[in-house]
Amino acid sequence: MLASRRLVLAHFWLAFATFAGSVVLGAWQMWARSPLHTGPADAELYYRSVTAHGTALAYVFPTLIAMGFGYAVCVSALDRNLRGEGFAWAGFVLVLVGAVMSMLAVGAGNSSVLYTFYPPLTASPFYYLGIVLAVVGSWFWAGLMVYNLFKWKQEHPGERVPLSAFATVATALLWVWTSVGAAVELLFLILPVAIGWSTSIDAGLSRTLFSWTLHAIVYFWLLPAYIAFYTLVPRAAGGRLYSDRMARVVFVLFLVLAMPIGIHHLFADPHIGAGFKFLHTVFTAGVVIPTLLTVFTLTASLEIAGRLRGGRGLLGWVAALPWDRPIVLATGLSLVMLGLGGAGGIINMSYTLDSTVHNTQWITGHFHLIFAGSVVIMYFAIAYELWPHLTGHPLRSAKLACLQLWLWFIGMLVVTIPWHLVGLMGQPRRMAYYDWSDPAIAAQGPLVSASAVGGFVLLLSAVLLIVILLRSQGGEKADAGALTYARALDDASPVPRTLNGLGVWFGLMVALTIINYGYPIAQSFFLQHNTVPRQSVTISP
Amino acid sequence: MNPFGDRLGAMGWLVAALVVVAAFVIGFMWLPSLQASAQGGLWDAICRAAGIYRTSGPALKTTLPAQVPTTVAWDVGTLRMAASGDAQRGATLAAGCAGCHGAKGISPTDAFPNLAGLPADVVYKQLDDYRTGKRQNPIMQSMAAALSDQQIADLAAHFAALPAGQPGADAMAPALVRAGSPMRSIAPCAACHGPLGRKEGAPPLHGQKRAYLKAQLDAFAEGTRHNDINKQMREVARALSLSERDALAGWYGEAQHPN
Repeated sequence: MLASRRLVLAHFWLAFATFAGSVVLGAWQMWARSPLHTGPADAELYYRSVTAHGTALAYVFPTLIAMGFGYAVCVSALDRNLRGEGFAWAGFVLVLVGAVMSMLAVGAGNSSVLYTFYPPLTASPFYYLGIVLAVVGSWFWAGLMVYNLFKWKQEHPGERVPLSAFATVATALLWVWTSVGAAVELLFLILPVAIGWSTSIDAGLSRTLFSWTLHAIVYFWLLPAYIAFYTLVPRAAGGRLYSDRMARVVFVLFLVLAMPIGIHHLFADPHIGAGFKFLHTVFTAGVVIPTLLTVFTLTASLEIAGRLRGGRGLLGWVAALPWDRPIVLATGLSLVMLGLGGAGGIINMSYTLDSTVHNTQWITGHFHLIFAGSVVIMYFAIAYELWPHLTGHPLRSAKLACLQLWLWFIGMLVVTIPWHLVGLMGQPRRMAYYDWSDPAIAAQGPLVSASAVGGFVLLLSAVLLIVILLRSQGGEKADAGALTYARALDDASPVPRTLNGLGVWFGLMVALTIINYGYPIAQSFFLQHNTVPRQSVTISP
Repeated sequence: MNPFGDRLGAMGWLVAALVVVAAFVIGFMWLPSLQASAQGGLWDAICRAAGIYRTSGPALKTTLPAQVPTTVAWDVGTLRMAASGDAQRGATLAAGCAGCHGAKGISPTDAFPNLAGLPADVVYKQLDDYRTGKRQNPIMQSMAAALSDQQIADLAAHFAALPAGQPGADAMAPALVRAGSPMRSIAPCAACHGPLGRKEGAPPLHGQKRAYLKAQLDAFAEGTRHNDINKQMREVARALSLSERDALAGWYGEAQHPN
């Protein structure tokens, strides 16, 4: 049994409760704007729902998973006890209070600005304050991760930092630096307007600051899945990690490259010069390197496992893998979605190709496939892997868990493939309803109906997840032993100092951020043509 | 600094540095100088790539169209001006308005609109439009002619401070109000005029006089009223049938006011 297991369980349960509620909203949204829904459209309710869905699933759910998983890694890979558990609980309470506050503000109907805020739209200040609280709560976690690794290194001078802890601290550092953009936007630009101290807002600067956060936050969501790929999957498959050193290179590359690329979200924004858009395209292309390294290392590790289990021939090892273990199955399904979504991402990040798909449903399809698909399916797998260590009960049952993962995979493909297609046909995103009687878009109707069906498959899968986790909290007890991580082929060879700590890489990340964001932010202080009146979304009588 | 401890690592840093330099040269020098609109030297190319454009030159000169619907633009300065009124001074000035619009801003006659509770920017814009002749009405033009910017703001503050009528028990809003008519490019009324949202200058319509609303929709449709900044009301009203105009005026106008 893990130390601090109540803490980890609290994070996972709050995360999955938030998740389940948001999936209900998501399924409703898909139905409400499809041709299957024939009643009157309620745009107000729709945007309220989209705001709640996005806010909960972007800021609360993945953050809590990263936090819970991080604590679990800390108590299993480093020392047996977490230093500063009081602070950890305080951080949890802040996230909880912040989430409730935001959701109440959204529910009250005066905060329908979507989770990306879209200034000059202005919501109730409680909505933004709730998000700030949740982010501050997660900073407690990031601080604890860094502190615990620091103390461990003091007590184990010269020793190799366990890969899982190294990667978790990389995730924490990435999050701290990436959340600064949105935090500055909220505190210094949006909140003064929402409170009423100012009637105008620099929408250009706000969007630039948000893009600072917007892309790197995606890698913050992604990294727990990658940690599972490198440290849990090879062991669960019965093999070895192909290269510990390669894994470290991947995590530091994500740390360095996640930040200076966010302007690829602003390709259609006139306030950013074309030169910076090009520069960010180049750096975004750089992310291909750690991604392909991961595909290579992970495949090699699985091949080791497959061959150890008796697989032969060119591809015989694939069939020999234990696909009945949830985390192995999840990895396979995740890689399929990552491949499809990654290919789409290369189109989005290309300055010229993006103009075809910008602001279409293609984009919604892309980020659901990557995040809700390939990343979230690994969150499920992480939970299944940790649950016996957290609850002291075996998972009930692995078969049911595999069914749940398959349903999630199928549902996500049924949702997102039609979205990509209608996006190419020109369907704009963020629409509350479409006029399906218009012959110009009638051809998209059947695709949208099909994707709505996929939404309900996902809902079924989410319900199944909750059932499995609840059932596995009770019943017979069984000691799952210590939570262990995959051993690597190169465990015996020494790790270079630069890959045993993150200082150099954190510095490089900050430096690249200054190079790529310094001017686009500084320009707003002398090119003041982006200041516009605020647009309150508060319902007025 | 070298993660691999061999020459391969040094090569890695070198390649990374070369990529960064090449990206700068291509993105800030080469590509911008290839653009069809490229003029000037290298420095101009770099400035354009960074988002700084020359504001001089014949191509960028703008001239105002011959017929401007209104001289009010919702920039930050105008919004500040419209919000700067003093309700006390406005109340004194408003003594002359009471005959038609009621002592408390609730008009006794159906032909004249209620003004109580209208947001300050709404009254500000209409008075300014009467003053400049952009909205035409013999009575109102002569009333507004002598007003200063500050007096207009004061009057706007006064009417904004008066308690608005309570919206009555609503019947289900018609589809035009909720969803507009996308096939005819008609946006939902509720997006600008409530209850879904509101835009600067657009009055909330709940509880306004029914006959007044109908007259304004007709005037926009015929083009005799033309002080809507982007022609949006003229476009919408023209696309509405007579019975739809009646129904809309009826739905927004049905709420009861305390008199």
